[in-house]
Amino acid sequence: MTALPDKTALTAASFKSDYRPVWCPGCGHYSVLSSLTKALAELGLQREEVAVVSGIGCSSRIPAYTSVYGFHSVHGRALPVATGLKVSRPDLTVIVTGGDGDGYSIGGNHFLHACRRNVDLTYVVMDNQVYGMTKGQASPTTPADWDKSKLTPRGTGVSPFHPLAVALAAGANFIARCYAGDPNGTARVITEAVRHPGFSMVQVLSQCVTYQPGQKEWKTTVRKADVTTTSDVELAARWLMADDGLSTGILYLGNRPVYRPELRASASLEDLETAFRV
Amino acid sequence: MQIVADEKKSTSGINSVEVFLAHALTLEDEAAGGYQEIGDSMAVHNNPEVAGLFFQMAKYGRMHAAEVRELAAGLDLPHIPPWEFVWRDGESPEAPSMDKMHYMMRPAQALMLALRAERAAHGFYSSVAETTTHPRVRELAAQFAEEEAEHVRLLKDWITKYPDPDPNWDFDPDPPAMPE
Amino acid sequence: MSDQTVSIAITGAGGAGVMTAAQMLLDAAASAGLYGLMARSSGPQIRGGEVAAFLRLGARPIECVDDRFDVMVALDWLNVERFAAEIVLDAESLVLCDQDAGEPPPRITATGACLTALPLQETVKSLEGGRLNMVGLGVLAGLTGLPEEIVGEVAAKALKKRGPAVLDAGLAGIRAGIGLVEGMAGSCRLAAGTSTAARWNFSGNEAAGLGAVRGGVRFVAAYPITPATEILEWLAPNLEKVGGVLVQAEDELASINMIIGSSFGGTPSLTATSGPGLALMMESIGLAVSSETPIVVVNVMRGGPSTGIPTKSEQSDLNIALYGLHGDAPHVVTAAHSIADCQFTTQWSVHLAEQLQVPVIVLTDQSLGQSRAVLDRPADLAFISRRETAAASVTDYRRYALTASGVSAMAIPGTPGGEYVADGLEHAISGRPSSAAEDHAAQLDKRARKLELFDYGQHWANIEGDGPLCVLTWGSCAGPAREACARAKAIGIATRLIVLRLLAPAQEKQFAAAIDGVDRLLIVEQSHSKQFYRYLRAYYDLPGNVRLFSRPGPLPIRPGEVLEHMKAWS
Repeated sequence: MTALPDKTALTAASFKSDYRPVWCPGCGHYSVLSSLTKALAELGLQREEVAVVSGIGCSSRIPAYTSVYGFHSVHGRALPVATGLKVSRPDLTVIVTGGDGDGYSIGGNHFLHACRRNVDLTYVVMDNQVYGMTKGQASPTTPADWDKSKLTPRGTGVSPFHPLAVALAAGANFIARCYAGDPNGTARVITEAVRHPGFSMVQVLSQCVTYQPGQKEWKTTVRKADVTTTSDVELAARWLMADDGLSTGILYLGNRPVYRPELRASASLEDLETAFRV
Repeated sequence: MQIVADEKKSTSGINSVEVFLAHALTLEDEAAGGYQEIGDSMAVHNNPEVAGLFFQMAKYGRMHAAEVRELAAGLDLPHIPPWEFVWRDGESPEAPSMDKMHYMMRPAQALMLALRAERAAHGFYSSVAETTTHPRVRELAAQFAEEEAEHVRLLKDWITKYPDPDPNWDFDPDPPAMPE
Repeated sequence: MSDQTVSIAITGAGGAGVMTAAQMLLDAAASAGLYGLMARSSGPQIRGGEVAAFLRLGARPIECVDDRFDVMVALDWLNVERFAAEIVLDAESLVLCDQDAGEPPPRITATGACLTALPLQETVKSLEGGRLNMVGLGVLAGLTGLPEEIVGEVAAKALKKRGPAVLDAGLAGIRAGIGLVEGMAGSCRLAAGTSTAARWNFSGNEAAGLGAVRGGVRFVAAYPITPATEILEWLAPNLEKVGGVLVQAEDELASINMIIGSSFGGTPSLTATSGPGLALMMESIGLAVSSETPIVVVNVMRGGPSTGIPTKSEQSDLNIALYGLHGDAPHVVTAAHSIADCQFTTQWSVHLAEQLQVPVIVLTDQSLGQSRAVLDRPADLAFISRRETAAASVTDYRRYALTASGVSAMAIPGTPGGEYVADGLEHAISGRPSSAAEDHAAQLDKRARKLELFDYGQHWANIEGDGPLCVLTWGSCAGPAREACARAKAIGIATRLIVLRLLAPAQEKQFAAAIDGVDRLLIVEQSHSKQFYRYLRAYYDLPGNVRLFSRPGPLPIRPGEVLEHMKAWS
């Protein structure tokens, strides 16, 4: 094998479990799984010190396909589960995975506050602009005129929002967009995201071959962002709002303080009773 | 702050045996892994004929990887982060594209995709052979390129054994299911 | 020890400082070796609203309100009708009011109480920096016979940081108030306190917080909701002192999932909420059941349904606690029955959650949570959390292995070889999702078995006294039930009292043994739809003669009411 980052490091293959993914052939998530395992190998982590937390959806199946600790929780709630885990176990590397429906719709509130709270987490959202698991409904990132869903046969009539702009406004400390068609590039970004302190937001355009076959086009329309990474929130905000959502790269690097309460005892249980004593 | 790198890298930077073998090993490992993953996916999606073809490709990939490992015995290969390999398109050339797969694909199509991957691998090794300044690297690269050329010939031959897919190869009368 | 207690109501509005005075009175009683219980009622305003403080003081521990008030001190009559139903007065009650506050409301005079007007405002004005509530405090000190020095000491401690002028004015006010009632009837005199036992002054919510920490909880997620917020407020600084952490969540959905994540990481975790919040948490409590992740949710019940009556007590969340999870989701439900028991039951519940790898819902209520009591210091308890975990470098690890007890070792992240994915999906013993019939059956059996086979010991219920008439109740109804039984015994009615602490899983054998020999069963509860009664009928064989005394909130159930039911049946 290629030399590893250090003697004790594991290969990307070691981070995959033997559970065969049930994603449709052609799904972009295979590539993201590969990127994630490459990143974990690159970071030189051991299996037992990593946890992948997900919600519900096709992309949320990822924990089972890795060989690290994982929590496949309920729809929209991966971020608080990961937050509780990381705050009480700051020694672990905690990665959150999910899709655009799970993360931006039902999970929207937690998304805002996870960005705001800035716990040291890496959130990988596999955005395919659809609810793939439940037969193809529109999601918060689906174009308003997409009329292929039985729930919204004339299109939703509701514009998609800009998740990265929302992440920026809510306080995320690292913002990037990747494309599943570039697994090594995505691996690099995930590696940087984990290394960067605080809440790292990585949106991966990851095509749904079954419900959004047109996303094949991304191969030609997705391009590298023509800007340098910035730490200027205003600049990043303007750029993000102007972008069409198809530029990839690490777009923003923040330096906000990380939410990491110290877990250190300074008193005994008996001391806690003092206030009650008559 | 990083400027996002231009991905069209050049192979002219490969001038040591260690760096070359690191590339070759990763190429073969990722090919084998990629074919295995696609084969598994096809098996899970009840396309055993195509699954079998990809498992066969995976087996060859593992054999080649073993050969490269043998060549690398005793050498100290450098660690190269996945995104720093000098692949032309940022992705290992022999890695078959999962994104082009279809659960109902026919063997001829599968083999065409494998053929494309083998050609890309051949292209990589030829390019290294042409641009390297290191004689041993040139030797190895040429050797590997020849092996890939052989695979290409074999695949082309293999493909002829399968009929062209009929125009409605991807027609599935059933609607998608909702597993969760 | 004298059984006599004095029940006091103090009312006032708009910054009069009723609660401050009431707190000082309780603290003074504590210093004087007495016991007490204090609760409050208020209008919806955040500041300046009408407030009523209710105290019951005596020389023995007090666990519930009395049937009536001995004295009401009304600093003014503003919006006092709000409290009329709660301030039960009769011809023996004293009502002291301000001669300059206008006419007392007809509802008060109609009670026949003995009304005395005092020059309260006049006295206040005559003192430099005088305050109405301090004069009122003095009035009560005089009536109850609490020594001026003790009251003064308590006031000094509370007012010290506001400077000498305020302190002097306060002490002067107390003295003046005492003077105003000199020579008045001694019906409110308290017998001297003789307690030398170590005593605490605390609320049910604080007790629950302490129980959590003592049980081993070191992570709490918090979202404020009346009447549970004080649990979280107590935990915030105190958890940190012992190396834990409290995180304020964005909503209850975040709270419940945060504690699941934290528990998955190996830390005993808890949250506290009330009905509306508990309803939001249901889906993820089910996730904790399925993934077998230990958590504790303290639910401080309030008037329901929906937004209901947030500041009042009721026992109407029993149904949701027992039946609120979708699917077959066995879990544990416990209930505290007194302020001190909030500590015991919460601590025990943490132990149960950790031992059984299950969510435990602890039911308390507003009347326990937000009332303060001076009580004997609760005994130290022996339970500590003991979660069964996988050893380091375990091989061939199966998270959900089918063990005889139903409890399987949990690998804590950081343990090499123990990597698994916790899941809400039904799963095989490895944790891998499975829809196979045999896996579902096996895991359902496992999750039910681990609760059924566990020996909960004698804590499942408190069983006191003996007699053919049995009073069966739970939660805050235990206090008035217990006092009713004591009064009944004094008039020759022998009763057995059973107070359930463990509601789920039902303890059939133990219950049958507990009611053995009982020929009349009086069930007491505070709900409209008879939730407790229906629960008992569903899970237990009840004797032939059963009567039910149930009433919803917001008014407390009083011992006299329970006694009437007992007398009618004797």
